[in-house]
Amino acid sequence: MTTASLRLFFVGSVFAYRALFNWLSPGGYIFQKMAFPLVQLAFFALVGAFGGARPLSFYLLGNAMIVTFQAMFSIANAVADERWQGTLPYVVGSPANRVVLFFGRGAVHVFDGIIDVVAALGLAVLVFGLDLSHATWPGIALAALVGSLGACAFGLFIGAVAYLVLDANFLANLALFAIVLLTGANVPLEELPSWAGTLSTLLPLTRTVAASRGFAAGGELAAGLPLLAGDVVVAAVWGLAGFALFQTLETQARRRGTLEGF
Amino acid sequence: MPAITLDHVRRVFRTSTGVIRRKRKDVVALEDLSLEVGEGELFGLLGPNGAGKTTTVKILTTLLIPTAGRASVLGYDVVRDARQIRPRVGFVFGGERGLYYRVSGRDNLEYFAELYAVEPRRIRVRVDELLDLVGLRDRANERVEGYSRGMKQRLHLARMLLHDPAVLFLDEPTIGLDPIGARELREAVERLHAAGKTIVLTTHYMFEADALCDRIGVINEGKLVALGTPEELKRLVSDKSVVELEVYGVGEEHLARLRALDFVDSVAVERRELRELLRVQTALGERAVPRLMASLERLEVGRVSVREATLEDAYVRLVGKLE
Amino acid sequence: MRRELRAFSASTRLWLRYMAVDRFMLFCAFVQPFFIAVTVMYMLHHQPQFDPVYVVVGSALTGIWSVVLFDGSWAINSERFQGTLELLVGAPSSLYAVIAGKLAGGMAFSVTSMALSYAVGAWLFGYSIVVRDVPAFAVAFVLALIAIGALGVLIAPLGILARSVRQFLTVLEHPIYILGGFLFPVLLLPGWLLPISYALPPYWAAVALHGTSSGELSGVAFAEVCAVLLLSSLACFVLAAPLFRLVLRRARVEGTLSLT
Ligand SMILES: Nc1ncnc2c1ncn2[C@@H]1O[C@H](COP(=O)(O)OP(=O)(O)OP(=O)(O)O)[C@@H](O)[C@H]1O
Ligand SMILES: [Mg+2]
Repeated sequence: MTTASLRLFFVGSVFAYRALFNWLSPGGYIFQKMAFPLVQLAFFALVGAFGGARPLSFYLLGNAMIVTFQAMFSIANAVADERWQGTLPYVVGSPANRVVLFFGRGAVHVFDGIIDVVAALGLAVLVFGLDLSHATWPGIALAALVGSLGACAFGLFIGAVAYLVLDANFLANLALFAIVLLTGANVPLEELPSWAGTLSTLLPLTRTVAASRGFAAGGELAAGLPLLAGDVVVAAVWGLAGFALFQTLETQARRRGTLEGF
Repeated sequence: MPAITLDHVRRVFRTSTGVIRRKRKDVVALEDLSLEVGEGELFGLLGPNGAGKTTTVKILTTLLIPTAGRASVLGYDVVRDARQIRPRVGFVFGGERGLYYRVSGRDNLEYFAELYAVEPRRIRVRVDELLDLVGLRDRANERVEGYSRGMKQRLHLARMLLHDPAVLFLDEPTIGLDPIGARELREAVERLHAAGKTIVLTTHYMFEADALCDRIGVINEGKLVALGTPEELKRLVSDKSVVELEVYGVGEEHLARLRALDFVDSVAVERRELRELLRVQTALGERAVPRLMASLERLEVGRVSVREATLEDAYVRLVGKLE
Repeated sequence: MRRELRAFSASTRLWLRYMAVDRFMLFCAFVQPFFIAVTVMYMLHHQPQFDPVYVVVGSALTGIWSVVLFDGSWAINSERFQGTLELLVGAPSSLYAVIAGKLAGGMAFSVTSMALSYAVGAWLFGYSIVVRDVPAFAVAFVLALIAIGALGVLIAPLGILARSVRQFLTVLEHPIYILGGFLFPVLLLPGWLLPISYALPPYWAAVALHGTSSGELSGVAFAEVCAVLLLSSLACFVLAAPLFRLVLRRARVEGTLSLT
């Protein structure tokens, strides 16, 4: 990354927060950002408690890792907001590297994502009585980080697709539910039909969920690292795909003059 | 009884700025506005950006409550009797917003026909009539999102007329229309005027106000600065002529010197590419030219012309700036 | 009154057409209940006393509630963003009727989420899904829809009261799934939350629908639940009226009917 890109990255981030707080009050933002993933966690944990075949901790950890995917919304929305405000043609018309710009706007939310995971685990321990007394904490921290990075990479891809099919929020919501269903957070992978199992290996959270369960039960850091490494690779592939898609779509949009139509 | 009365109307907006620590600021949109519009009159409201024209129209259409003062339409108070006013007035705000984009133009009209309680049996006929009137009949079944700006504006005009209101408010109806579209709209307004409607029209276009309006009110910074027929307003500058001088590189010191001349009433500058156009109002006419040239000293002067003052010059004089 | 009815039905019709092309509403009514139905089917099917109709009803309720919540809290604001709110307020019909019509459209639309959840259970999982007490279920269904819709009408004016209120409303999606006992019994919740559940119309809607679909609710108990649903609907409709007046008055004073 060049200095110019770095600068752009930070300007984008600052801009994102400024725009956000003009719109929402900081308190309101934190409330919204925290509340949504936490209540979603509570909902699935309670369904699991009601009739799930696995112990409650299975659902609690799975859904705590899903919380990291809030960052996906932020990046995908960075693009959507541009279109909503009609500023996209101007951004594209500027010489700035837009991938860096959008990524910068969203990546600050990795930070939010990690705070959310902490809150989610707090909720799991305090309200649902999750036992983390033997947990391998460095492993859990690493899992949260990998989850958040995966969310950013995936968000970048969705943002790029949203360039094409218009609706980042819709896609991100869709992706979130795919993640709820297919990463093994709520439904054990072996119960899924085989084609769905294939899909789940392609999602950048599946291995992180498995690793976090190991760490929570006191498993060795080394035992979980290969799983996390696997998700880093998957995330990188999604991120690169998003990057490539950005470039091609933009060239095409310029050629066809469809930028305005966004 | 006048159709519209504004009696010492004041309107203040409270805005806030700043991100963390919000600062409150009061914007006075209307300072103290009093005027009357007679029944069947076509009244023009003129004024520069931010003068308070839209605010006035919104108060009269019951969309804003005045901070102080009273206003009434057809004898009904805009605050107390909003329910009586609404079925009797129609309004359009210039621009493209305010339509349901994902359904057709016809759907938009039929929807508002329901809200305005147009007699159910008449809705179809009425909508067709209006679509013809605004020339949208053949595009009526397309989604509004595909309409051009002018088409959307014409759709608004049709919407305004659905319930055949007695009083019409048009806020910059010709903004963004092409010259032909604007002329058609003006003709439509004239026909409505001839049909006896009371009409309030706001505009930035002087010739539009001149050509259409019975009377004109000029407001500036929330205050009424002039009121009268176009002729009366022109009379403010009737004994004046306007000397237009094309100059190169005019500075503040030149303007100050011109304004100091006793026979000069006002000086306006319009900046064009590489040169400026000075408009000097004076009672002296052609005789002023040599003396003006003299005080411009070494400045290079191009074309010079002298003409009679128009409504626009009266306006410039009233609001003190060119737009 | 007649005029208000016309405004109501015109809004219902317009809004039905609008929602059919609104991705977000499609998401709330179809995609999300679909995923919830599939996920919860997988989670619950090990239960010894598992009844697929429970999941069908519960997932449909999530869809209905999401549509009502978002439709309700954005009902007025979306008009504001489009610039149509001024036209609605300037029209002689009441905004109440227009917004209620909009929500009725939303309700009609969200009924499809019931059909979708049914299809998930029946086709994807191959269950035979049986409603035990069909007439009672039909009655419960209509009353439940009205009760949840009425809550939406009450939410609508709150949605423009303040930004913070709207933010709060937006996060109420899952909490009502939880407190309403859509997909698990509320008795799983800590005791101090139960009074909140009992005060919420969606909870009674869930009681009525789960109870009649499983056949466990009948006779006097069923009549009581119906009465609660009716009363709560009435309460929402009545309470909404002064709220509408209040927010409209405020918007005209503050000049917030339009964006500029
Ligand atoms: N909702 C509002 N909130 C805050 N200030 C407002 C609001 N509406 C209008 N104003 C302010 O009131 C003043 C008058 O605005 P108004 O829209 O009436 O002017 P106008 O004469 O219609 O101008 P234009 O020619 O630009 O349309 C302006 O300073 C404007 O910024
Ligand atoms: Mg204006």
